[in-house]
This record gives sequence, C-alpha cells and structure tokens, in this order.
Amino acid sequence: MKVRVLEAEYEDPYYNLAVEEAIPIAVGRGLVDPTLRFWRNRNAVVIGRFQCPELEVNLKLAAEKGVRVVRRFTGGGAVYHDMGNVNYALSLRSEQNPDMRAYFEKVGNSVAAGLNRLAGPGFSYVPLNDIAYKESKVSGLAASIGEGYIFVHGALLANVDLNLLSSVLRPPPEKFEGKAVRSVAKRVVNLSEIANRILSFEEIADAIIEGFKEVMGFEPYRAELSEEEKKIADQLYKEKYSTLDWSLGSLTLCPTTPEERELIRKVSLGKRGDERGAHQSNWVAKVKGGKIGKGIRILCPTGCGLGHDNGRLLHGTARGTR
Amino acid sequence: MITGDFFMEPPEVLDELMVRLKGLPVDQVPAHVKEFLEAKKPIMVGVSADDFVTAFQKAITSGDKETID
Repeated sequence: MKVRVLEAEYEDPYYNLAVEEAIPIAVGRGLVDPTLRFWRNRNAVVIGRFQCPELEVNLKLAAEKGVRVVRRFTGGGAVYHDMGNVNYALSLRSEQNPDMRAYFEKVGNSVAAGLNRLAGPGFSYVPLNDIAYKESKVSGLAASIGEGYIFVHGALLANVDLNLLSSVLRPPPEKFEGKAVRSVAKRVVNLSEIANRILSFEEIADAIIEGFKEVMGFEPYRAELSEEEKKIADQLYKEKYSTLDWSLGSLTLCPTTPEERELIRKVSLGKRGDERGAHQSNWVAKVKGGKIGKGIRILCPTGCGLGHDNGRLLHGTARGTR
Repeated sequence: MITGDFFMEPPEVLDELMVRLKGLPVDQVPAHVKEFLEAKKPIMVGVSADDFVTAFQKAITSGDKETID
C-alpha cells in the first residue's frame, strides 16, 4: 500500500489538533492517499474526546507553567506533550465498521517493530492501546472511526519532561461515584533512557516508518499537506479547536466551577479562539441535590492515558471490562 | 455528565444518551442506558454497555434524589 508520509507540525497546539483531524477527513473523502504523520507539540496536555479538563489536569499548574490544554477528537486518556514527544498518526481508508482493536494491534506492532530496530529488543504492543519496553510504557494509542476512514494515533515518550508530566496530569480520585475497582499503576519511561542517548525526531520517525513497512507492508513516500487539507484544518481550527466551547466540553457538559472555567479560559483558548459556549456548561446527569452530582466517570480496564508520578503511571483507574 | 478515557464511535451517541436521560426517574436510568446502547450499537472499546449500567447504578445508589436533572 502506498502511504504518504508527512512531517507537519505547528507552534499552535490547537492548529496541530485541527490538522490531526483534517488529514483523516481528507483520506476518507479520497482527496489524498493513506497518510502517516509525524509531529510534535509545545507544552500541552491533550485530553480525550470524553474527558473533562478539570478532572484530568492540574489547571493552576498548567496556567503557571504555560501548558496549554487541548481536547482531541479521539477517545482515550489525557497525555502530556512537549518537544521531547514524537507523535505519530495513521489515517487509512476503511470499510464499514472497521475493527478498532485490530487496528490498535497493527499500529502497536508496527511501532514496536520500529523501536526494536532502533533501541531494542524489548518493545512490544500491549493490548488494549499501549506500547511497552519490558514492563514500562513508552507510548499510548487512541483511535477514531469516521466517514470512510480509520484513524490511529499515538504519543511516544522520547525525551519528555517526566516531572512536569507527573505534576500537571491529575490521577483519578480515589473516591469517585461509579468507580468499581482501584487505580492501577504502571511505569513510564523515555526512549532516550532506554537507548542511553538522545534520539532525534527524524531517526525515531524513520525507525517507525521501517516498522510499518515490515508489519503492514507500507510503501512510503514523502509529501506535504495538501491545499484541501489546509482548508479543512483552517475551518476546524476556527470553528472547533480554538473555541472554549470545544475545550470546556459543551457536549460532555463538564462540572466546571467558575474558578476552573477561568483557568480553562487561560490555558485553552487558541489564538483566534472565542468564548462561544463559555456559559453553556452545566451538569446533565446529576440527581437534584444528590451525591450523583459528581457525575459518572467510566475508565478503560487498564487505563488509556499516559500519566506519571515518581516513576509510576497513575492515570489509569481500571473500570471497564473490555 | 458522563466522562472517561473510553472509546465510543460515533461520539455523538454519548451526547444523545445524556439528553435522553434528562428528567428520567433514577430507578429507570440503568434500564434506559442499557436499552439505548443496545439499540444504537455504538462501537465501544475499553468499556461495554454493562459498564455504563454499573456506573449509573453505583452513582444512583450513592445519591438521594428521584430524577435526573
């Protein structure tokens, strides 16, 4: 399969996420070939589609440290990004109802194969959506299925500031209504620590491409973002990613307090953002005056985030059964 | 409000679920959640319809009022 390889990254994390969604849309419409994108973000926490920023992020610290908070269009858990991360994103055309798990496995095995070439052996895909080096997690995956496409992306810890990562991501609270089982902890590790040297963005990307060639039979070629994709990204940026409406989660209706809302305004607005929806966030699934007002939080069985605290991953309360 | 690190496609199903639950007596919520998810058949990875039902049951048990606000 011919696969276009892009290295497309931008200063504005909101635009980076707009491009992230524009590419699979273009692939699904048949405007461009299947695409593997590599990119990085400046300091940012990227939260999952169904997450509330105030539950996942230490907003006060994020505001102090200049860490932006961005909601992405895929599910899964919050991840911390800085320039020590290598983000990869695969957009493929797909049939109706593709098997998301199968694509997690294909992408996970491909990336692990590439890392084994670069700094292994010892890297492997760990279901549901992890890539690990021995017992330590180095990357997490998320996915989405849209019109004509299947999309899988991941964040790889290459040389990330793990101290800031651990302090800016909030672990799930120990006591939370609807929570069935206790938190799990996993180690996370930087690729540079495993390799005993700083690995460049380019050599990591090249190794991952080799992994995709080996596992999925890709025939890669280099290209740029198309004009159609730029137009889609511009529109997504203006109407979605740079708005407080999207960052706050107007659709998931997060339980934001006025103080948290003010902090989110500080850390979440894109350069051209507006405040549409800033006053629309209210609780929906709460019982009047009852304890259920704290909401329903449903988490993956082994945790789908990429958090860290003193060498331990805390951002993964077991909850689901699949 | 339903939040978490799960995967659901299409994501709009979750929004629709929340709208459907508004104003329902809480004792009817778990059955409605299950019925709704089984009818809509969203692609869910990381969780199942039963996980949603369990979460609502636990939340309702710890609450003390009668309707979803």
